[in-house]
Amino acid sequence: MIDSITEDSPLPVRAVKLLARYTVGENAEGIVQEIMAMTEDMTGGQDATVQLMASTILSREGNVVDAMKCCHTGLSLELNAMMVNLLCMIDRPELAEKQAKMMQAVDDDSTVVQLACAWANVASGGKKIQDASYIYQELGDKYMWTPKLHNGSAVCFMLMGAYDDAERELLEAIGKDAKNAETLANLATCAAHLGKSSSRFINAIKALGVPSEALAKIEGFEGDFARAAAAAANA
Amino acid sequence: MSLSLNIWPYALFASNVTKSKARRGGKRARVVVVVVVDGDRAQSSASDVDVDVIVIVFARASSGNVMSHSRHSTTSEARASFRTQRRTRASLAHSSSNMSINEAFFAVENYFHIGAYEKAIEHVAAARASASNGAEQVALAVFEARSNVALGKAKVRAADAGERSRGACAGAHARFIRVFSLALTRETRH
Repeated sequence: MIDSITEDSPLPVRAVKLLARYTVGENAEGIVQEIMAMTEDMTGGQDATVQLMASTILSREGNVVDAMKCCHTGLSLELNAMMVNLLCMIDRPELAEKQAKMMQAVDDDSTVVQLACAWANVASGGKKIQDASYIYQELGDKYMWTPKLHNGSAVCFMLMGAYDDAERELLEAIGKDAKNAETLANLATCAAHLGKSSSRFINAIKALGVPSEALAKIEGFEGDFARAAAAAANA
Repeated sequence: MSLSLNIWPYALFASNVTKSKARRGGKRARVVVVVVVDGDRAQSSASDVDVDVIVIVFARASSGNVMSHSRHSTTSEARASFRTQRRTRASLAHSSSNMSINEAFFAVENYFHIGAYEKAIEHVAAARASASNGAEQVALAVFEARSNVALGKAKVRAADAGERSRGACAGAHARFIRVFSLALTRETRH
């Protein structure tokens, strides 16, 4: 499918191709320039998919400010959901919640709106985590249970301190997709809290060979520990 | 026992669903109630031709055979009941073969958002058949491409990748030759 996208393809489809090229590890700088040129174009500036792809690529590059500028147009519910995601990323749950409420006013039944509400609820914490858990349960029962929904539900259980339930959800998720890096990362977290060894899950993520935020963090911590240990040994 | 009385609560439910959806400014839901009596015959109440929700009610006739009542009755009620039955069969057949673009598109969208990417791709084919204009086709192509990306099927065109890889190899080879010849020159000087 991706191979078949050419220069003659419609603009939104070409924008998705840029995301595809980005995910396979092509020159990130060049892709960012290309997608920004698309968004600055008159047609691309008014296209929700182009804006969404630009926002996705920029957020993965760590450029949250420009990613938010792309979402700011609010051309579609997906762009609004992306904004909720970005607001959660920068630890502004109150704004994420406000955005989610705006989305609910547009279409309460939409799946993307319900997911955005769940993200905002998880970011807010407290009693709202239970609401988020209900949303994941409802979506899973309504459509089908996917690793994404199992992970969402497991995160809610973990935040509520129910690590056994979280592990059960994650085991179901791993049964559906054994190579899901997010599930493995959550299983590692769960194992650590349940007093089990998490090394096999971390090794499994490493074996996947895909970029993982959790793995990057673990490697960062390992580096910090090695430096601290070396400093202590020299002292 | 009248069959039309039996299906009344479900028809009311169908009407309420339609009204509540319309009130919220959402998409208009079309509901069909199908009552299966004693597992062999069906009676239904359709609120529209295209269907969003199908309610199937399995019922057991408690006082005589309801269907035989309607079969032998010459009243207008029985004839109306038969017509409804025929219309519903037609509408169900229509809904299963010609899914409207909205339903098919929402299915693609929903499956994509919950992370069922393979299901989303499956539904794209069904939605494509009913998509009438270019914008709908583009929207479906976008969801299909995004699902493929999420499934890790994002591949750059083979030709491009091959050229890049050949270019990288050629560059590396040239660098190696340069370094090797410099080293060789130094060695021969000594």
